[in-house]
Amino acid sequence: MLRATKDIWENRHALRSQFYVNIKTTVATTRLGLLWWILDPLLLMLIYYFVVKVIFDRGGPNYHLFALCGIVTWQSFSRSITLCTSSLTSNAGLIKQALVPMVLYVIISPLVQAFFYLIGLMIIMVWNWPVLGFQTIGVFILVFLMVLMSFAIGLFLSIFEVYIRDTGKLLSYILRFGFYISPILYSPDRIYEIASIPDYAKTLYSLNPMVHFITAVRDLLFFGRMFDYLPIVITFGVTLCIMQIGLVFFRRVSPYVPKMI
Amino acid sequence: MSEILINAVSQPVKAPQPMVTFSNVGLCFQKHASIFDLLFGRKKKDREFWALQNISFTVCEGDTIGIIGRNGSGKSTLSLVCTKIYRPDRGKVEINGRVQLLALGVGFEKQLSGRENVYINGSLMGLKFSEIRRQIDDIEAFADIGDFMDEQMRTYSSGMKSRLAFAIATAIRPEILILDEVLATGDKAFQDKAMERMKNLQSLARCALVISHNPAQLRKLCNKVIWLEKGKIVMQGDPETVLSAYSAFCANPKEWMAKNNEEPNHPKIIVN
Repeated sequence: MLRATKDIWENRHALRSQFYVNIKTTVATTRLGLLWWILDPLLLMLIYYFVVKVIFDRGGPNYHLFALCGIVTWQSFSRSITLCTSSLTSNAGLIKQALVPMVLYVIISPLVQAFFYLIGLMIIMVWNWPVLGFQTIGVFILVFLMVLMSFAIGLFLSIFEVYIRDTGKLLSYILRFGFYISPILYSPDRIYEIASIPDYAKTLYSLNPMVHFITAVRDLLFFGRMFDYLPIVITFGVTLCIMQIGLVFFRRVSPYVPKMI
Repeated sequence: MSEILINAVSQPVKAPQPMVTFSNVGLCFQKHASIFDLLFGRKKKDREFWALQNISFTVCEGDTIGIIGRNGSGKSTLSLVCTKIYRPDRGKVEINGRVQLLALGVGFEKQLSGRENVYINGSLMGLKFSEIRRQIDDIEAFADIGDFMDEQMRTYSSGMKSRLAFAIATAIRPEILILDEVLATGDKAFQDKAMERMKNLQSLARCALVISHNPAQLRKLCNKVIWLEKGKIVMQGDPETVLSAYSAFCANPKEWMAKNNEEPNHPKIIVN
């Protein structure tokens, strides 16, 4: 982890320029330009609001905000992972020309998505301003955790994608499934309440880090209270372990990558 | 006066220091295998492709080495081994110095302006933003593409792109510069300018590898030429000899092979 930090720090200028490229090129050719950063989560919210509230007539008061918390979080997570996965294969040209450590290409997407995530969260904050308070600063911890989580997973997936190009395809199905087993459109309490779900399945469900993550986001921005420390601290710990293993794995394998892409 | 004398004494004509040394380098690609190949046994050996075999040469300080060969003979692969991006499967590569590979248009973001791309490309080559800011006027002047500097890159012609790419790469003064067919594009005026800058780099006691299909250019620039065919060195030595042999070969490759009875297995090395 120290070595990766050093690598990234030494190439911070390259990181900065890549960050800039990524942020700018998502909107460079569109008419609405920067507005897309804001429009994107809002449009998604509108779709799910329509499905859940209008068609199924479910969800509680302020359901749009409740759903928005989950949607922006999940969007950020699933996009960073998807982009991480293709980070090595899609940057083949750069990898073969520039002498920048490859780990840089993997971390760039989580960072860029974190930027968009912050914008998404900011929309919620503005919308739901009465609940803001001292605890709101906690979102920075969560955003940071999000970067680490997707980076840790991305380290593995990016390498898998190089050797087995089916990874990305498979991932899109897994993420779709993940969308429904995470409490994005509903509250996790809903799962715990259902009697027909066996206890072991509920325990399994609570192992999903996204459950705790989204709950924490909602505590902060929807209910306006501090989140539970314990699940977040545990998630942090597990993430750091996985990241360390991922970095070692990445360092071992990455010299062979340029030939494969 | 005395200082100069001391210098002259303390630094006798020393042997030029090797910057790049290849000894018996081989590099092998795995051909793409689908799950069916793995199940129904195409042997591993059939899936291997040796892009480089038994490559040995040395580039010393001040050298400009030309690399010539037909398409697919392993020239670009060789340049990627030089930058340490490809790790050789056989043999050893030693490189002393900062390497920069310059290939056409790689790493340019076509939705952004030329100026932005200078920063992006420069930073990928390991420059700090402050260093780029210092050099950007120089780069702009050398590329000489006028107002296009602030236009989106997608509006550039391929010649403009290579002008800019060349300007950036040579502005950072790498110790070892590898040019992969960059000098080929660009008009006569730019080629002359580029040539001059290449000569400049040479005089700064740095070395360069030039990959080109243009014998005249190699004659002008290089003091040694390597001829690759099927991933092996056929000949290396002084430009005149190698290039004329290569032209003879290109006139009719098959006949040449038959006449010289020379599968590239046994490289004929001319040391000058």
